[in-house]
Amino acid sequence: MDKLDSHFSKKLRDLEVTPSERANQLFLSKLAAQEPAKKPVWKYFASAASVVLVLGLLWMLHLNTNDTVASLPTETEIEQAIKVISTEEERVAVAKTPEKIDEVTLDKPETTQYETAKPIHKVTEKIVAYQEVVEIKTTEENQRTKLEQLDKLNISYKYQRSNLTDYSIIDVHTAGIEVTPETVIPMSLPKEEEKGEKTLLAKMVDEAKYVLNGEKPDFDRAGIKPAASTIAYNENSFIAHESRQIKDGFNKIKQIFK
Amino acid sequence: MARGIISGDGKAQRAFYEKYSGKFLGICCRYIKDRMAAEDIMVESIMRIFEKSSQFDFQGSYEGWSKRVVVNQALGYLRSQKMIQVDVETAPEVSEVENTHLEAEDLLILIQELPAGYRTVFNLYAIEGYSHSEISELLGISEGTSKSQLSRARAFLQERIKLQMTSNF
Repeated sequence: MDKLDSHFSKKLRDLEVTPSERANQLFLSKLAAQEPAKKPVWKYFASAASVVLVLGLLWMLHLNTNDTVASLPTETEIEQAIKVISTEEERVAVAKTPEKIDEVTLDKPETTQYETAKPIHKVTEKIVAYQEVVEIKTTEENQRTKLEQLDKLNISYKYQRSNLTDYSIIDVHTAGIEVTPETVIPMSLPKEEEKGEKTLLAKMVDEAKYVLNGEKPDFDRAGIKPAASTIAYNENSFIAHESRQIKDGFNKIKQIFK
Repeated sequence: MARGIISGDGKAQRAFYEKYSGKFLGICCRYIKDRMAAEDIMVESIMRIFEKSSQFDFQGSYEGWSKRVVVNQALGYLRSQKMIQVDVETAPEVSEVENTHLEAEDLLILIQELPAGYRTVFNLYAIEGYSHSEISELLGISEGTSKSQLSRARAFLQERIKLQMTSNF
């Protein structure tokens, strides 16, 4: 019996039977169905990290190639925009031909980021104002026409009427006064030295007349005591003492009767 | 290869199938008479090997461990089909046949002609090398029944060999 077992064991232990194609296909189908479930998890994280990395690189490239970066104007552009007219002849030439300025401003391309029109317009305004001043100074004829031009600027003059301490502002054209540029001189107050100073005696006599008329005596008007608003200065520009002022007044009276 | 299978490498799994599918089908054919059923069990056994590869502790050969998985799958199939019916009848005494010139394929045919119970016990004892106590645990039978089934299987095979030898002459 043992020989039978050993005989069968020897022959059948390592027996190989070739599987059919059906069995092979069955195995492959089961293997394909099982493979997605066996994928390692780390691959998903790796793919997500790679996607994030690519997006980050693309974002960095987008920032570096941004078209909205401000570009400073070149030196030539700045010189053209802020053209300084140095000589007087150039000023006159520019003033006489304002159209040129406008043309220059209009020729500037619109695509430039640095706006060159604005400063040039400012220059034109200045040049126009200077134009009027230049014409006034240079030409002596037709001054009335020039004054009419000046009227556009609403120029007014101040002057003082006689014996008035206040000033009144009078428009030249409404008052009908013709004023030449040469005669436009600010009026100054008349000085006391030009009128002739009265003596102390005369002042006292006049003050006595006021007192007889019923008025209160005014020592300041008489020249004896200065008014409170008037500040007396000595030679050193200090305020003098009141007693010293009285002494000065009596000294003057003495000199009169001497 | 074993580590590749454990890690779920598809290439390693296909290589394992190509190398051991023939042997595993031979094992299945010894237990299961139906060829298609044997192939199905073979494929299922391999898939189960892939699933349980993580339980392999690398003590012993991976092939021996895989063969045991295949045998268990085959027995499970037989149990589900209720083919392991143990006959209680005592086995007749058969004279020993000395000369057997039959090849492996012929012997396989002879084994497949055995009843399922006889065939199972004979395969487990004579070819796989299980003891009667192990067979009784695997099949849920007593050791006496295992011994009886083995005797019956041997007698049946000798009868068949004798007939075939007389027919050749």
